[in-house]
Amino acid sequence: MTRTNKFILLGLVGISLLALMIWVYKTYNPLESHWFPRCPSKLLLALDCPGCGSQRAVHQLLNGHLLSALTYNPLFVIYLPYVALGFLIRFFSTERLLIQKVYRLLYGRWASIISLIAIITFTIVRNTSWWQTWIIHFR
Amino acid sequence: MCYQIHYVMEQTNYTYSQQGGAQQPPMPKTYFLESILTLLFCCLPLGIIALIKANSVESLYRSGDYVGSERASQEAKKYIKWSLIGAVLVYGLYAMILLGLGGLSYFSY
Repeated sequence: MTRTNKFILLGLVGISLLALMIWVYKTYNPLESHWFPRCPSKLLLALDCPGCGSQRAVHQLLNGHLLSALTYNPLFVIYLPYVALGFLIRFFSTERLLIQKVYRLLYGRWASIISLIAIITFTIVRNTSWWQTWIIHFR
Repeated sequence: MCYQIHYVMEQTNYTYSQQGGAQQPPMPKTYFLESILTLLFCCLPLGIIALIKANSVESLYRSGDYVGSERASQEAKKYIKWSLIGAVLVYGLYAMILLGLGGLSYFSY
């Protein structure tokens, strides 16, 4: 098998897996089904990690409920387009100076510091009872 | 020993080229996006270490320590690789358990 054929095969498998996952997450609600994987930190420590709730958020996003998705995991919903844009810019690696500047500004040194602070703060805040009782009003 | 000599030689090479105003090496890959992905989807501790490494890649590169930044990039890559392996193991185990349970329930009815 040649190299390009291998790439095409891998791409087809990846696209079909992605389509399957999108279909599953669109039709089944993780709150009502028992078949979705639980977060290990929720099972072992009974604490929400920064990624907890992203399956429920994906289900709400695929059905068009943006606000509801934000209540399950706001950090995930904010980071999803951001990371996707970064991978897109990197994939179509252009030589244009403006895009290079934007990439360096958005995904540079300050981005990692701000992300680290944001993720740690979010993890602490979302485990407080104040957040958990406040966020329910928006669902 | 050999590695140390290589390290010193490389460093002097870079400093000479810096003083002469010659070419800078390109910045090594920071693995920032990948570490965000591991933080949110799979392995929180590994993702935090990888994110800190991603930050140190760029700050070391800006301070002129090109060898150190290359090393930080390699370490970030290592953590990303291990978290990828962990994710595949965890989700694969989960899928296997699910399929096994499904088979059991099929046979028990």
